[in-house]
Amino acid sequence: MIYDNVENLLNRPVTFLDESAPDSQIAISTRIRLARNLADHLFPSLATDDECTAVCDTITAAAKKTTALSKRNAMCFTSSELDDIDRSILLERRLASPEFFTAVPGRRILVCPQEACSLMINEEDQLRLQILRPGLQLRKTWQEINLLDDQLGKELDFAFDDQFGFLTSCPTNVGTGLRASVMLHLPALVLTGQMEATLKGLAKLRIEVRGVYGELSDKSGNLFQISNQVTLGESESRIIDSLETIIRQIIDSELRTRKKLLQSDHNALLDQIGRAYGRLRYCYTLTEKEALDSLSGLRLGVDLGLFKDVNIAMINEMFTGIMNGHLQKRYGKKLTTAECDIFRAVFCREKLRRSE
Amino acid sequence: MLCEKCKKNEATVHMTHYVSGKSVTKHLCDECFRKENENSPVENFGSSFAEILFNIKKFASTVKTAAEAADTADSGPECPRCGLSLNKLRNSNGQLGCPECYQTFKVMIKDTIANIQSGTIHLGKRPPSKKAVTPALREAEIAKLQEEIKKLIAAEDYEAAAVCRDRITALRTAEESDHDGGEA
Repeated sequence: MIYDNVENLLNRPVTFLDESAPDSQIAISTRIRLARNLADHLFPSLATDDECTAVCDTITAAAKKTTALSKRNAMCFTSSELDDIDRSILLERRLASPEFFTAVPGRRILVCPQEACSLMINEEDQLRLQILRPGLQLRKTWQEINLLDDQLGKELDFAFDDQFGFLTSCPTNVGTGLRASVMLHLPALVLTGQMEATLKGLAKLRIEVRGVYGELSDKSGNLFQISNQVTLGESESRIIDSLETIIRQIIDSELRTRKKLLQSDHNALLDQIGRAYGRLRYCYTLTEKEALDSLSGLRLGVDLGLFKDVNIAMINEMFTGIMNGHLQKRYGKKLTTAECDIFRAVFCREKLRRSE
Repeated sequence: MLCEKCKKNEATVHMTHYVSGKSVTKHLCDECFRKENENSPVENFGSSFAEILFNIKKFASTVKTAAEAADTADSGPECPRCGLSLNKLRNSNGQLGCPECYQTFKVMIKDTIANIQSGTIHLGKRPPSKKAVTPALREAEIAKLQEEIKKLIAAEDYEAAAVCRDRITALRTAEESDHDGGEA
């Protein structure tokens, strides 16, 4: 395992966004995470610094014995050794959560070479393992993370109770400790004002909806993370199956709405897409929201077969490339918001020019 | 209603605190609320989240009655392992201190879980180190649950009875209870 420089991440494409995958037209990625703690230690919020460090070492040693993380080029990042830009990069690639970077020693992230699988140590729970896959692949992702969890469970004594299942720091995660989420691109539902009703319906089904990068961010780019709320009282397979059923319905309704829009508002829709392309290709400053919304339009255009030279993989890569952390790392310095807007426009112009 | 601090602006924030057995409600305007919380915004947000999550108010009142009976002024149980008390929990971010807290605060957690989860019994996978439920154990567990169902129905708690019934179904489907997740 190497103690890595975040720069090494940047030179690789975000693999989990990069391949053509099932249902990738609407579903961008699938993520499943499991929350685990060790039976003989306090949860991170009350553990001493020494205990956190000990837990971190124990989990790291166990991780080295798993198939996914035993590889020589698996990466390892320690929270205290990262600067602001590096932290943003890990957030933007969804390898860490914002909470991960607050105080507490012994915080570490282990990442497998393709970035599909990662462990976050000593966040709210001692161990959060996650697998990220492109498109809609809940079952396959569950199989993978289940295997990783089994392998870790052979080495580590997880806090487990016959009634409550896997014990987590917060009872909102107790039981399976499983949170499955699928990122969906839903421009037609937003455009026709159907999203509000959809959101209300989902809340009734105990399905949570969030923006692009976690709980606090807004809903730019017409991207929505749809995930289960319930973690106890249902088996993992049932949680995943019911989430998949719901997600398939949302995808269907997005596709139907797109078809309708093409028939009823053909020109208005194409105009929006054309304007989105124009902003990305010709603007000299772009805010993050503007860029996300424009990329959403461009992606819709590609889905509808309007741009032969642009592919989904490239747009997916741009979705992370335009984020502040990635821009600053790419241009090698800390930038003000205004400078970020300028460099973001440069980045988008270049990308699209090269694909012409 | 006017803000009780500045007595100028309309009170828009109404906070109820539960301090040593008494509830105290404050009515403040936005500005005074912000000023009052300037030094510890996180703690204050956390406390309200934990209080809502665990319904601490309700729990504290039941504990208080028990405590009064025992003639102590203590405000609730304390976890023997990590030392987390009800007061500390109230000021936390809704996070418990250790695995044992689930036993220490069981009454309260069961309530919380019943509100936010699908059931109160884990039906998912078990860690490899924990033995799978053996047939004998399974039968014993089913018998126990059937007893429980009878009691719950008598108490007209049909929701809890349904949870027990689901658990029995899960146990009967031996494949699922032993390998659920594994075969998924």
